[in-house]
Amino acid sequence: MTKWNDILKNRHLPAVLLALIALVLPLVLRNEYYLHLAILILLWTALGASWNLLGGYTGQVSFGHSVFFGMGAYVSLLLHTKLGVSLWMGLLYAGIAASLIAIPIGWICFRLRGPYFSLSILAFSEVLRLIVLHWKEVTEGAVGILLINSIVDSKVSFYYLMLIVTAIILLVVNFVVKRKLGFYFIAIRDDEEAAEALGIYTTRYKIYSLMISAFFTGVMGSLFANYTSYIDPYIVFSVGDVAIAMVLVVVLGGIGTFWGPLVGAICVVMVNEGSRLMFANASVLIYGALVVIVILFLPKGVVGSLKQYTGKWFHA
Amino acid sequence: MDLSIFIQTVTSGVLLGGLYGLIALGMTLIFGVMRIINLAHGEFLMIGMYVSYILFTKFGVDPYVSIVVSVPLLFVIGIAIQRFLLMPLIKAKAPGENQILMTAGIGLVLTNAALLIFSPNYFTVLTTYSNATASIGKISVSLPLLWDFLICFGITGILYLFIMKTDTGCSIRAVAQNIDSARLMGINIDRIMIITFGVGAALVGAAGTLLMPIFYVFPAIGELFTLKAFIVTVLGGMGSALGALVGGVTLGVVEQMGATYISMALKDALGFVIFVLVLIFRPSGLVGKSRF
Amino acid sequence: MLLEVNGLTKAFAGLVAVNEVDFTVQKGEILGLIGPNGAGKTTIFHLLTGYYTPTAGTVLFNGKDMTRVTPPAACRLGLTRTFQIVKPLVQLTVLENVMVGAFAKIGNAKKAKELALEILEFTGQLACKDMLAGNLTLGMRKRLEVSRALATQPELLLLDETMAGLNSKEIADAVKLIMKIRERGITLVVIEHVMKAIMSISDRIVVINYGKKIMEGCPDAVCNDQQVIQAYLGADYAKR
Ligand SMILES: Nc1ncnc2c1ncn2[C@@H]1O[C@H](COP(=O)(O)OP(=O)(O)OP(=O)(O)O)[C@@H](O)[C@H]1O
Ligand SMILES: [Mg+2]
Repeated sequence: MTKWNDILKNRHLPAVLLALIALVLPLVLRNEYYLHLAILILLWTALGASWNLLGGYTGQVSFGHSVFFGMGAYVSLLLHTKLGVSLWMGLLYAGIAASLIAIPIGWICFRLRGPYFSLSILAFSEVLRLIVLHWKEVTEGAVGILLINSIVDSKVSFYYLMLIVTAIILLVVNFVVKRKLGFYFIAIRDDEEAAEALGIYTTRYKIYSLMISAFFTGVMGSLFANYTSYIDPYIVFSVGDVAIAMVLVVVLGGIGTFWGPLVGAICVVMVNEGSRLMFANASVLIYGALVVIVILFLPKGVVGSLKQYTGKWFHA
Repeated sequence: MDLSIFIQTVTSGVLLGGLYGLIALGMTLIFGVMRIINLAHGEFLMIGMYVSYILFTKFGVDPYVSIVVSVPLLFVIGIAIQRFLLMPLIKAKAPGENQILMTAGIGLVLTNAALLIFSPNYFTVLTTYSNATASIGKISVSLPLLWDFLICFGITGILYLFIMKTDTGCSIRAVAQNIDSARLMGINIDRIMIITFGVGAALVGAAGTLLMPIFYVFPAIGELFTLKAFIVTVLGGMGSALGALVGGVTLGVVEQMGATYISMALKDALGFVIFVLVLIFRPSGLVGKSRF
Repeated sequence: MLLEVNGLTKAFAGLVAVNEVDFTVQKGEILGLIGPNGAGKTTIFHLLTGYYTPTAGTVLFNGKDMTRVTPPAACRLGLTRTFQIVKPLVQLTVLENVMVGAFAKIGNAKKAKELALEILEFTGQLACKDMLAGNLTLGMRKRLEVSRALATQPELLLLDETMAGLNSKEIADAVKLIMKIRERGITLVVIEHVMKAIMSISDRIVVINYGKKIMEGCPDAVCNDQQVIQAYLGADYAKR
């Protein structure tokens, strides 16, 4: 019996169970719509986890991650439609491109702290959106780009692709957080001056955190573009639907926690879809109101509030 | 280069900049005291604009007169938001991003409420003076814009007097400078924050009303102006009334220059270019010291 | 000469917090830095470790000019400090706090943990290694500052009032710890208001008043100097 007890007490248990559920989900969910919801949840979990590395663990709250999302989406689709680069390589190039623009953006924005950092990065998202909008020869401007053949052709394969990428992102974040890099990120979040006295080049490490976060956000931007098969500057550089939604997912779920992004993604997708089904016209209004209410009553997010009761178990 | 076109451009830039300054003034004030950026700022502006629009179309009230409605209305809205939505977060010691998100959520609600009530259409008010101009030599100026500019200065002056001369203003300054010592001095922080948010909202409400005769209103207008206000706030060095005006005028002139000499389409991008340049070379803003 | 400070000056708007201060630190010694509240002691530490850039003057550490060096660079060169107002990394455990310090010279998490454990044993904090730093008592926080700084393996360590607010037993422990640190081969500059303690541990003492160095010498000489007694120890002490 002790063997069973060991297994039950293992702190990886929730993760393993979840992974199993995720693997068999398409076999159970025969309905396209439910599969679509599951894909959205994965998308937002991955985006939330990417954001969380910078915002939650490094303490640099960005309200402008749409810049990396849009960059990733555009780079992969442009490379594919204009130069015939494969969409699989596009995923990689999307991440690299996002990660590269993170360097100058970080260099400039990390001169500011607190809310000013949060919003100055949003300004860059707007700049990039305006560039894409007006540089019509290359980007097609407001017309957007239509993808004829997506990276995979069925919803089920897309689900598994999304699952793999999301799992990789979660694992990498978990890996990073437990190593020197992660210690440095958390030290910067908790006290920048103390971090400096301990030999941490704070700006450099903030940029590292931003680069990793941007890489994954870019990859997800590219996956999103593949999923919807159409992008335009208003969609992928959207402040409300991308940048602020990413913050929302993490804050609702629990900032700086491992499970926060998943929990937040489930909440946001459910609330969003629920209000769309029930309130049609007023759906965004209701959605906004629910956001207000949840923030009001769950200041630490779902996981943050739960942690007080369940202790380390949920922390993983 | 044609000199008169140049002067014309600068003039309208400066005048427009006065309005930008007024829009940013409320944001600066709220940031100074609360250390949060109000992402619903542009939506407050939108409310001010719709108020003018309704009063004009339904009751024939002159847009400039409607300021006596929009200002108190937004003051009350601001007070209610701070009291019932933001203060609980501060009390719960929630991190700053929660407050910013809260303002974003409020903005979302306001935008979509406007969408339901007014439809996504663009509305303008057409008064007898909407297209009136005053000309000096070859330079002509839109009259409403000129009035706006003067009123903006007036309002900024009144705010300055309020902050400098009244007891409440004095407390606001104390909280902005150092919240802990302000608390030790016996200042009621909650009250000051509520008033500040109310005043900040009232200021941008006034700006919305002033904007109505020269611009058009639609539900999603908020986001554009929230960003502009933020840019102006950073350009101005964050936290000073003078800075907001200087930043506003800078942005106004840059945008007009861009529209005249480069392209209408890229004028918004130029604002961001200036913003980035200031971040690189003068992170403390064009005026004064940084406060962080 | 490990550290050479010449004409060090820092002017803030309307106030010269540090005014042409000179002193040197020999390898292996403990230098006491004392002075009344607001004398400029902490500001000197800020200047030495790159938190402030001096208005004038030079700082040579191992012959290298430190006036333009940033705090993390100073740390990596072997010069670090603790904070008078403690700065625990509140969401990390004691062990993890010390590991952050250890990462300054060690890249590998396992090796950093080994060093951190060794240091916690050395400073007597092993028992509370798994406590969150945010939950520690002030005494433990002050000691954590020292443990964490030690983990960066400094050559010269600047301690800023690590005994303030401690009870007499804790002070006695802190004194012992400082002596042990010196035995490890680390040179120390110690700011302290607890007179008995600083007199007993220091080889030499530098006295600062209103930003200026008013006296330098061995503890006995400082104790008996009329100017120091006037400026710092106060009239009461002078009578006794
Ligand atoms: N950043 C700053 N700006 C302006 N003045 C400052 C600044 N930092 C310190 N000061 C002033 O410089 C003087 C010296 O301060 P410092 O903290 O160095 O004193 P100290 O000797 O460490 O005092 P204590 O024993 O109380 O710790 C004080 O008058 C202080 O107010
Ligand atoms: Mg001090």
